[in-house]
Amino acid sequence: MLGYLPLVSTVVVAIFTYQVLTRWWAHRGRLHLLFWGIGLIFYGIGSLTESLYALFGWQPGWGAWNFRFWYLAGAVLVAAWLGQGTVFLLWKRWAKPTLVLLILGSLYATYAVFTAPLDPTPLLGHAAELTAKGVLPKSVRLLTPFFNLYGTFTLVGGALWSSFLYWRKRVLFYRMVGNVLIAAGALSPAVGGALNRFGIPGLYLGELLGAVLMFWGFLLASRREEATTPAAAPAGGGR
Amino acid sequence: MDPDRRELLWKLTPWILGGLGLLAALMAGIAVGVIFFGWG
Repeated sequence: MLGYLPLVSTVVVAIFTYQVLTRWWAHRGRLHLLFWGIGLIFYGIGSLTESLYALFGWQPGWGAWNFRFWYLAGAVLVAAWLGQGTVFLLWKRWAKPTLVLLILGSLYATYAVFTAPLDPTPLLGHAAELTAKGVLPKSVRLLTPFFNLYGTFTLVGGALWSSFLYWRKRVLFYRMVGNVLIAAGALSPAVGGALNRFGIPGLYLGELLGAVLMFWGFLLASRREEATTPAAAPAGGGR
Repeated sequence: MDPDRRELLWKLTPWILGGLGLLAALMAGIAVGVIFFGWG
């Protein structure tokens, strides 16, 4: 049953991605929406590949490709690219240099993940969740925490900081609550991923919870406030 | 939203932010453990 949660996550993330990218398309100067959209596409690829594994198990023909796409998009890139959106929103001065580093890091990660030798033994039966433990060499798995540290610091840190500013100024209630939900949602897959790394299933539930909470937070943070001070704090959600 | 609920959320927010901040620090600590001590 747990194995099928990514199917629901894929649907939620697809709707979320559509909402974010259509808003970016309408206001193309708001680059943070573009990078959140790219991060969400990686999120969707991650949950889609998990869904394929849940439905078909490890297939000799394309199982390795499915696994490599899962690891690259769902484990390595997603948090960092979502976090890059927050950098474009909150810390514009750092946006371009960090973007260059992120692109270079992502290209290297793509090369490393797609050229690494695989040992699919732990996934040949129907494992509870996809895992890279024992499948990919440790040297490749070591890439993930670097990307995820950056993603956690920027995405979770940015949402917590924004929420704190609204709370301190007592303005923009929905943006404050929305940012709390975004922070909680961003942490959910991180907690699930940490459990998965230590061999405890929890990743799929964390991803679903994360997708729902971040989408809810995004919608709340984008909501028009009824009567608040016009002096907006310098951070927000889907403006 | 109901004004009482809104007021309660204003009061709870710093505690929730603190809790999430601690959880984020724990996750960062695990990531550092993976990098430097080979955890997981």
